[in-house]
Amino acid sequence: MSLANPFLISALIAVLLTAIATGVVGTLSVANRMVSIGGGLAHAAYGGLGLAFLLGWTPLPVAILFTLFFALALAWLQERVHEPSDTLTGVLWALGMAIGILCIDLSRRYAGDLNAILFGSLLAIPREDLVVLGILDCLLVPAAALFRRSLLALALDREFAEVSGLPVRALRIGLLVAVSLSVVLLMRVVGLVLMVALLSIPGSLSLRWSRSLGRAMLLSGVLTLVFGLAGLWLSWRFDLSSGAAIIAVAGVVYLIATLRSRK
Amino acid sequence: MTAAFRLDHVAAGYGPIAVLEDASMELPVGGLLGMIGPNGAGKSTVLRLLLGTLAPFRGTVEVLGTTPRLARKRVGYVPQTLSVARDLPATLLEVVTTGFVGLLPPWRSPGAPERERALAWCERLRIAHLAGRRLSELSGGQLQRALVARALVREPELLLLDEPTANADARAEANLFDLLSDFSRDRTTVLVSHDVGVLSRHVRSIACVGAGRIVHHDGPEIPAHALEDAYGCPVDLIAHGHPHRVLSEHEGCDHDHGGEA
Repeated sequence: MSLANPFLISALIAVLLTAIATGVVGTLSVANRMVSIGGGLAHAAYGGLGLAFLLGWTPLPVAILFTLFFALALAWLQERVHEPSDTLTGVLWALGMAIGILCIDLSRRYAGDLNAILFGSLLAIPREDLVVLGILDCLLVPAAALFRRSLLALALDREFAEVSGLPVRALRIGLLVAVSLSVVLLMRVVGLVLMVALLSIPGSLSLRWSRSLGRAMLLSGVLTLVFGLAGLWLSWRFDLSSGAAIIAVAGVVYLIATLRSRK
Repeated sequence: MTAAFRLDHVAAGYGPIAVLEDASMELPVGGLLGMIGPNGAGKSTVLRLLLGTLAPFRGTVEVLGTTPRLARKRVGYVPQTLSVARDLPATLLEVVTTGFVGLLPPWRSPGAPERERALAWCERLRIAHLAGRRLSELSGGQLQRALVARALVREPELLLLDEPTANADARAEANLFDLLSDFSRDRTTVLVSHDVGVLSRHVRSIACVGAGRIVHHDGPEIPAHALEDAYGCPVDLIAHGHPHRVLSEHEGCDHDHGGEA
């Protein structure tokens, strides 16, 4: 496959746009201990896709609305019930998947396209998905730059931020919405199952290696880009699944870095 | 005259359990109040009520003449260091400048005047030379002073501190209390501590929290019966020197007592 190949060009653009989005959202997810919530929302999105498949509707808007509903329901439950957040997230995770599978069962049709979404199809990403990803980046980057101090205060010490009058609830909901939109829109690139890795690995490494939250977001984007290009090359060279190859590269780097910095 | 805070027959707790059953107290503006009591007596519950993060089951809580939530911008809070995510990439100065949250719009970053004010407080707390150091590179005592500076940059009318001397050495502790005494001339400071000895050396009055109630003693001297009421068991109280107080160990009571030898 040459560099002039339109599939490869689309894939490279997708990796770049993904790097920008996960640079922001992944770093903030790790800093705010929201990685498992991101995973839960990624799987909730599958429920939305199943619902769209059952009803014969366009998948993307249904998945976005469905995931946003789950995100807001989680925020509401976290404030109103005495239940650990990770338990609520686990229930959300399982429920989203179950709804998706039940909807597919009820449709009595073959869900080949849904499996592609589950595991990603970077080399077959359509142009309109690239446009939507670009729009997401255009929203995420200025918002993160504008609210970076408030987001740092929130991540550093949520209790202090709340009692000091920072609109903690609005910021948390904003973060959940950003994570929801990102996981749904990035599912074409790496797939829902592997989404959690991009939300956690580059952000975790960059927070460790940076001296400020802003620089961590930048580094996280660069790391995602490097992992993406390396995974894409492996995928092309050895005929592997692109999403899985990207995550394998990221996972190996994470393990080496973590073992080198152990206590 | 407006009180720094007022608790009026307050019952409060978590879920169905009431930690405070009938707590009443009014603290006038100005001075340094020490709050003591055994673990689980309700010291943190009182702080949460004053911060507005916990609503009472019954009774009323008033802070600076209004509700705790409305008073938030006029209140400073120093939590225990455990509440801070030390693994995040932030310098000491960045942490101190997060004290301006709630005072500036959420989209505005602190500018040069705010940074100068933050550095001035760091100077007074003797941590200015650590301004560029990462959180993970700070000792517990240095981080604690950074959290005090973070609260003080807000120039609050009411300052609430939760165990601020837990990681401090003797010199840092003396420096902190000198600063708090100075700060509390025309403002109010409430300091929660297990260390009765530390409190009695520096505070103007003491509140004992225990058995679901608060008993406020005007003056740093604590009658033995007040400690017995708070801790729910007999105590030996020995005063010597500055004054120092010693609560001797005894059987038949599993509370984690303060005191010093």
